[in-house]
Amino acid sequence: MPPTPLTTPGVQGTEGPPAAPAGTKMADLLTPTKDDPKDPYVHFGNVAVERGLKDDWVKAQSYLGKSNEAVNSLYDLEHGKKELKVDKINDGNDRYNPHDNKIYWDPNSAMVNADGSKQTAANGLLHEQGHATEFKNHEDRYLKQRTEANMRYNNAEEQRNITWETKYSKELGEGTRQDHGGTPFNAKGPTSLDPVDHALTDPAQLRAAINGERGGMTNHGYNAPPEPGAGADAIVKWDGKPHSGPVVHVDGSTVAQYVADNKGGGQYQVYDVAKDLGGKMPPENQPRLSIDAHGNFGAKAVEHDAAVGVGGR
Amino acid sequence: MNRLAFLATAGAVSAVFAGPVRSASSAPKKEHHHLNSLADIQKPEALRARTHAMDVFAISQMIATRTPIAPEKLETYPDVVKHHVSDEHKIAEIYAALHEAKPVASKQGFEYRWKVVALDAGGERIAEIYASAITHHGMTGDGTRFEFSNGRFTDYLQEHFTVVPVINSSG
Repeated sequence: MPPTPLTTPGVQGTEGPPAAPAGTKMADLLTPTKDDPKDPYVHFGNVAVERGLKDDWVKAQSYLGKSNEAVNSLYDLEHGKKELKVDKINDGNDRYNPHDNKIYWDPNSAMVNADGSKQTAANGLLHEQGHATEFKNHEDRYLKQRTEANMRYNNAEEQRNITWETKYSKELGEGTRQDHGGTPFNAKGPTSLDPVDHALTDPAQLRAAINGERGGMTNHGYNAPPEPGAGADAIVKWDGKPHSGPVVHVDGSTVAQYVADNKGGGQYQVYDVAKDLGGKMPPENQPRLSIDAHGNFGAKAVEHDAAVGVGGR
Repeated sequence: MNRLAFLATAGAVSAVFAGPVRSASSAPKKEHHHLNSLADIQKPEALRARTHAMDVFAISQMIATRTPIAPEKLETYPDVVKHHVSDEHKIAEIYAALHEAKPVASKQGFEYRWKVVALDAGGERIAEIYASAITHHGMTGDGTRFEFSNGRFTDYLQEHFTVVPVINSSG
């Protein structure tokens, strides 16, 4: 079988959307053409934005307007023949679905790239608009390039779109990426690069935040995970199952492990290394590291990569 | 420690706590994941004998995402389509396709948009197989990467399972 190439040669469409008429400003595109309170969408030409998303969407577009690429993109979509809907999500799973011609956008989901640089949630919106524009104007090419695999970008359509993304990201003064990777994080708004809990980069603050959230969970009737140091018995009593997920060293005596649940979410299980894990510090950067309910770990170590989406490379 | 990983995961703490979390009623009561190894699917006869049903999860390759879909999110991804297979003939066909695809160990991973889960008579998971929609890359339930020697397995999936939701008209 032929090896999957690192990149796809000769990818077409990297120049982005067609130019808007000379003199077009972003502000020209942000006045609703239809705004009926009974309609769940506010319409901007042929772009329909979910009503609850409108303010963040306008804020994002205004910011993106620093780049002509964003003006060209929105002008093209607003003047398309087919309506594009933009729906609000809260889970960071930004995407464009050509089956229903919808962009699903989390206005608070910023991203950190493999090199540590960051991109705003607004940047993610424009990324998805790039796919929507390509599907609108070059449907056959979109469908073809989505199936042309490469290792760096997953497929030729992502390579095309990220090449364009790099162009507008530089114009916006944001980070750029050389692949399809990146780790989403919650920012303070669509144009912010600051994490919601900026101080969480301080281990003590991270511990405090986790403890605070535990209290909030209890108040809302959830069965919160036990406090660090509660001991293996308390962890068994909580859910009694091994946990599998990436580990973060909070400090020399505490680790946090992200455990995905079966509903698209998850939480951190925090361990006191001495009391919960028998003094054994688990390694980091192993996305599927298993820690069982008795504090045993190391069942399986797997190399991380872009597909895993957690941890550095 | 890896600074990037720390920053990224720390920034997500509030989001994951604020989202759906396991409640007392939904918390799994016991471990029931007996994840398979590559050897299990290279010679799948033993698995086949224990399999009473299969769940096939699919996400359309045409859906464009900002970052790749992580394997652990595939089953619950918003656009996933789930097919439950209990027909013995179809289960046999899936295993035949798997056998013919001849998976071999690989160091490379990829984004996976297919996941096939084998269930025993009690509904317990006995195998998980991830597969790319556009390459031959795959991964077993224990995280071992492999490559199929041909496209037989994914061709079968694509021919028999839709990747977009079927919308039933009320009319």
